[in-house]
Amino acid sequence: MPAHCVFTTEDKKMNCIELKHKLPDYIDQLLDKQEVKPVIDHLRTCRSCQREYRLYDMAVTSVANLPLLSPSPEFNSKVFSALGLEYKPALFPAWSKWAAGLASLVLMWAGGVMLAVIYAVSKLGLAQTYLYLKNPQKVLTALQFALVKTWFVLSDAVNNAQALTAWLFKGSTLPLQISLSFLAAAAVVMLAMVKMRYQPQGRFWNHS
Amino acid sequence: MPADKQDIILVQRCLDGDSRAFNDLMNKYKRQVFSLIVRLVKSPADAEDILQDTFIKAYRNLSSYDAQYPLLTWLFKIAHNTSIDFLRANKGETLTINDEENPIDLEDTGSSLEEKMEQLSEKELIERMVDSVPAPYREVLIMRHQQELSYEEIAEAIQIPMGTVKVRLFRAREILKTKLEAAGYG
Repeated sequence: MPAHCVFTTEDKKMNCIELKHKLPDYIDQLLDKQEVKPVIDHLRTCRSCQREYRLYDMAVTSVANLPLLSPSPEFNSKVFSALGLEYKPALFPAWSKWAAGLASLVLMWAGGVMLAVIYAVSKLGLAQTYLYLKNPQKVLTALQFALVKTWFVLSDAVNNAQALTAWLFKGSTLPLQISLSFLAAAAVVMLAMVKMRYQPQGRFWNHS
Repeated sequence: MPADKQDIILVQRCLDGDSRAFNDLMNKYKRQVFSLIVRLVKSPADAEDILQDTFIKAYRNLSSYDAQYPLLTWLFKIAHNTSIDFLRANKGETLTINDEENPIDLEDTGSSLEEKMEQLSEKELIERMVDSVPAPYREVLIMRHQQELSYEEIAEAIQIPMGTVKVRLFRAREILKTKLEAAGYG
């Protein structure tokens, strides 16, 4: 144990030898919560172990940061040829999926904006639209007004829903309300589980 | 950790004769398997041949794949065995060691590393240090820290007990740590 190490086993705290034993599991994040604290406490105060930890961490990080290497571009066709199979490369490159996703998202938004503009023009009329285009600040005021109006409509809807719920549960007791809510929630969960259940039928699926 | 659902579907499609699914499967894992093999045999050309054999064996034995383990673990297992056969046949080397009988000499990092340091970039130097770790130790290092396999998955891939994986990984990190220390890091 280094001379400058402050902890000893007599202190019932971790010493350098114990730390050295714990360090691999600490790096691999395999220690329990209660085991981690003494390690951190020791590392805070012991320079020798800090250095040990830094080197350990560097060894692990250097391996983790090694680049992934690729075989030659003809690799897949070579394997197919060796297997006697017809090589059918993907019709589109892998990145095309992302590009298609992004394009559809952009198109969806563009379509939405266009519909909104068409709706606004048909509601306002050409003259009013021209006025708005001339004074864009007025658009902001109109939007604020529309938002407040929508908020009132939504509030009304929520109030009506509350009134309907109160009418439905009128005279019922709290346990009944809780039971009904529980049954509704259970039904939703069961429905979701049935929908999401995966049922493989492959012959390679050996374990139950 | 059991197999990924997407992989199970891919394997099923392969078994149903969909060769495009096997192409997708190769595209998904060939870089990871190739990286491991290159680190083991240290020759990209040989590694590509071994990778080819690995995927051919995988295709022919897909029906025996047990979805209890991830598909990558199974591919690593085939790659490990194929690499052992290659090293035995071509270089007289082996990836198996007796961990108890052959303790690693931690002092084998000579001053040559310090000399090389001046000529190489830090990234290249560290890569060379990793490559200079003995193959059986290097293999577990790569599987654990680059490919992020669990101890259990490594044990399954190399077919050694989990305790041996732990011991081997501990020694591998000690060796690399000593090399880094000798090169002036830390």
